[in-house]
Order: sequence, then structure tokens, then C-alpha cells
Amino acid sequence: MERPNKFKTVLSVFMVLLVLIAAFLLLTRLLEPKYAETLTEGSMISQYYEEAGGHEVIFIGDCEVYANFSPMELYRQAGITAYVRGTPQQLLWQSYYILEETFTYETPKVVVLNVNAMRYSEPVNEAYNRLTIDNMRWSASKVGIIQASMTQEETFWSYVFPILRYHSRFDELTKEDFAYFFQNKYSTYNGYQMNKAVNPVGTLPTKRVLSDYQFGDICYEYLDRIRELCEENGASLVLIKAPSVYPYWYDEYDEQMEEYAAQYGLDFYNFLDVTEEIGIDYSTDTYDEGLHLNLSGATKLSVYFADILSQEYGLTDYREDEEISAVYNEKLAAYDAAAAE
Amino acid sequence: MMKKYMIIPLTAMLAFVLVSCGSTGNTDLSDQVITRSTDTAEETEATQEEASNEVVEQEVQEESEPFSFAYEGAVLMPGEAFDASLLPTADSTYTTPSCAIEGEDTVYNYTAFEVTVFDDGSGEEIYSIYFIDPNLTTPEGLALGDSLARVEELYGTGYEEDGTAIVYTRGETRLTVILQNEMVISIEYSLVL
Repeated sequence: MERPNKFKTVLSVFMVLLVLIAAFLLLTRLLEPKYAETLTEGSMISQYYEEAGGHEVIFIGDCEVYANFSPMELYRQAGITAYVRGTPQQLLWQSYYILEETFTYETPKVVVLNVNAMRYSEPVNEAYNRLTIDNMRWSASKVGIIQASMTQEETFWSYVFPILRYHSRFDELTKEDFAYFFQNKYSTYNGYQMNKAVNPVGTLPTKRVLSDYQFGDICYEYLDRIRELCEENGASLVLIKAPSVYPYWYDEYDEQMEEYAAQYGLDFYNFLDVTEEIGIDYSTDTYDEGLHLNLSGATKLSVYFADILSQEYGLTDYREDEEISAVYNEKLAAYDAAAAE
Repeated sequence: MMKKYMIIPLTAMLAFVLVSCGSTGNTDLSDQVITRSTDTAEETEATQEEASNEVVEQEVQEESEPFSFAYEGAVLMPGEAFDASLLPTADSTYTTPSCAIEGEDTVYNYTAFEVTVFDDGSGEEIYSIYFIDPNLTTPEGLALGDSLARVEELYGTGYEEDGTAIVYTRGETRLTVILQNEMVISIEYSLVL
């Protein structure tokens, strides 16, 4: 019997491995959520990679940034180039690692952090972790964010091999999984998620007494790290509280942020204090009874903040820049078309 | 011979799939609903987190029955199904959608108290009951404005302290009483998560 050629043997093994790896990757792609038509917030992180670079302002934080601040309006008002790297229920440690990653792509002049997440000292929900982390590119920042974010039920390997998490989606696959198998679909405008619906603020729940208003040590630890990261990269850190009327932002919370900002010479803007000045009308400017602003409200808030940013932080008016204005005018056209639909 | 060389990678693949299938967890993120409102969640987390475990030693009767609250004949218990028809018409309701993830919490306000319910996909369940009216009492007789001594008289001293709160736990239910200068300023029943 003729012995097999050694080269053929190696080649055979190699080919088998190749087929198996390809099958594994394709299977993973099929089973993982596409975030194209449903849960589109899950694609916010990956959309950034296609547009990274050249932004003078980066927003980080939870839904209160991606729903309330529109970079398109910042540009239209003051020629500001901005991107919102917000994700649902983004916690402080996640904001830190997302910012750390952002600095590997670009060096903004201003980093705007929404401080709502200071109230959360531990991971809230695995599903939110997935929306923020699943589509991050692999880097030290992704390793860090996984380790910092995992709930007790999660494993690091389920992020390395998403099939461990999604293997039983077989019977839940929809058209979306096949339609967006080879392509991504993004739905934000520089990270802003447009919502035009109107659902006015009615009667808010009772403002409940808390047993402890003190922000957790871990939140301060990561706030410190965000501040230091900005210092190392020459960016101004600006703290904000978006004008979401619920869940309640307690005076005790505000005092802690005021103290922190004063201690480190940071600016802190609580937009809840200036809603009249901004012109927000909660009977028309919110799509979910005050949790988030709709397009009308976000436009007012963004125009208001654009003036502050351009006046206080020496940002460039890129409307005068031929190359950049061409890009942004194209973005604006798409944005305005969507707004007019 | 080809089969021989396929054994190793195929075995590895099989092992991986078996491990995969052994892992637990829901797959559809939208099914993983945190339906309680972020506000009520934080309030409960405040009582859960870093509880000092300072359980005051005292003979306390075995309390195996979960906490429940009765109002006009209706019995409300955290974790149980919520039937709004058993209560008077709510003065207001507030629905708080979760950010991105499907699911909603609804807060029913009955002037004297609020009930926060969540929907786990099979109907609304009670997450918490929060007292508003000082005249409202628990079935055992506790009301806003009562003293710490009164709380201990009614519920014993087998509680955990957390900041300004004392927390009694029975089964999957919890009664959280917040005190200020040894006076009750907040009473809430909630589900232990």
C-alpha cells in the first residue's frame, strides 16, 4: 500500500481546518444579532469605526446622550464636528473604556460626559452589556470593558466566541439575520438616534426617598480615570446632565457633581436647570414622557449647547472648511431628509 | 487516511459545540427585560448593596410568609400577578420603557400608594408597592411618621441596616423602611431580585 505523501497530508489537514474555521465563523455570524432593524442601538459602537477621526467633540454616556444631542445640529449651528459614542445604559467603566478606545482613533478637543450613570455602581443587565460590547473591535480596551462589565452569569469566553452566547438562536432567526448577513445597517447620525414621536410628560411617579444618595466608589474611580485620560490626551472634560425628567436626578446627586467639578476645575452643566432658557417644552419635545427628547427637543438642546461649546472651548468652525463642509453637508442632507419624512 | 486527519479537528469542533450547548442563558436580548424602572431599581439596589449585615440579635419568630399588602380587599404581593381590576381606578399611570431593550415598567398611582409592575412576557407582575399617604398602614399597622420603636414592635429587630434604611426579608419579598431621626419617612415592599 502506498504511503501518503507528507505534503498531501499536511495540505489535507490544513484544508479541513480551514473549512471548519470558515463554517464556524459563518455560523457565528448567522447566529449573532445584526442590530440592523431591531435593537439598532447595538450597532452604534460599530458605526463609529466607519466614521472615526476628525471630531473635535466626543460625547460619552448612556441613552441620555445619543437621544438628546444631535451632532448635525451642533455642526449646523456652530460648525462643530462631533460624534456621540453613547450606548444604552452605558456605565461609568464602560464610558472609560470606550473613551480609551476613542483616543486610539482620534484626539478630540472636548469630551462631554453625561453623569447620569454615576448612580449605578454595578452592572445592571447582561443584555445592555452586549449592546455596548459585542461590536467593539478587539483591543486592550475591549478586554478591559468586558472584565469590568461582566455580570456573575457571564463569561469572558462568551465575548470571545459569541456563539457560546447565541448558539440557541437557531429557532429565533428572522429575515433580518439573513438580509444583513454580509452587510451592516446603521441608523444614527454621528451617533445621534433620531426619534420624531411626541409623547408628552404626564404625571410623573412619586419622587421616592432613597436610603443613600452617595455615588459609589467605583463610579468615582472611573470618573477619575476618565478625567486623567482626558488630561493625558489634552482634551477638556465637560460634565453634563441631560434634561431627562425621569428617572429623577436628585439634588444630592447634583451637589456631588458640583463638588467634583469644583475640585478639579471642570465645567458641569445640568441642563435640567435651564430647560426654559433652552426652550424645551415637555408637552411637545419628548417621545417618551420625559425620559428622552425627540428631534424637536434634541434640536433645541443641541443648538443651545453648540453656542456654549463654540464660545467656551475654542472649537473650529468647520463650515468654512471646504473639504469637511462637503462631508457634513452630505450628512446634513440625509439627516434633514429623514427629519422631513 | 483523510478520515484519520479529520478526527482531531472534528472532535475539537464537536467538543466546542457541546460546550456551547451546555451554556445557559437566554439568547434573544430583547427577552432579557429589566422591566423595573431605573428609579425604583436604584432605590432597591440602595437597600441591597453593601447591606451591613448588622442583624440585631433578638429572638424573632420565624417569618416564612412573604410580605403582602392589602388595600380595599385586594392583596398585593411582590412577584405575584398584578390585577388592576381588583383596585380602584388609578389616578395616573407612568410607563417607562427600558432603554433599547423591549419591555416596560408601569407605575400605577393610587394617591395613597404606588404600585410598580413589570411584564415578564406572561403578564404584569408586581415589583414594588410604595407608600405615599401617611394615613395608610401596613397590615401589621405601620405607617409613615411612626417611630423606630414602633417598627421593631411590629416587625421585630431581625432586620438588616443599610444607610438610613432597615430591611426585612421574607422569602422573595422585602419590606424596606427608611428612617430619619428614628422616624419612618418611607415604606416600600419590593421583590428580591
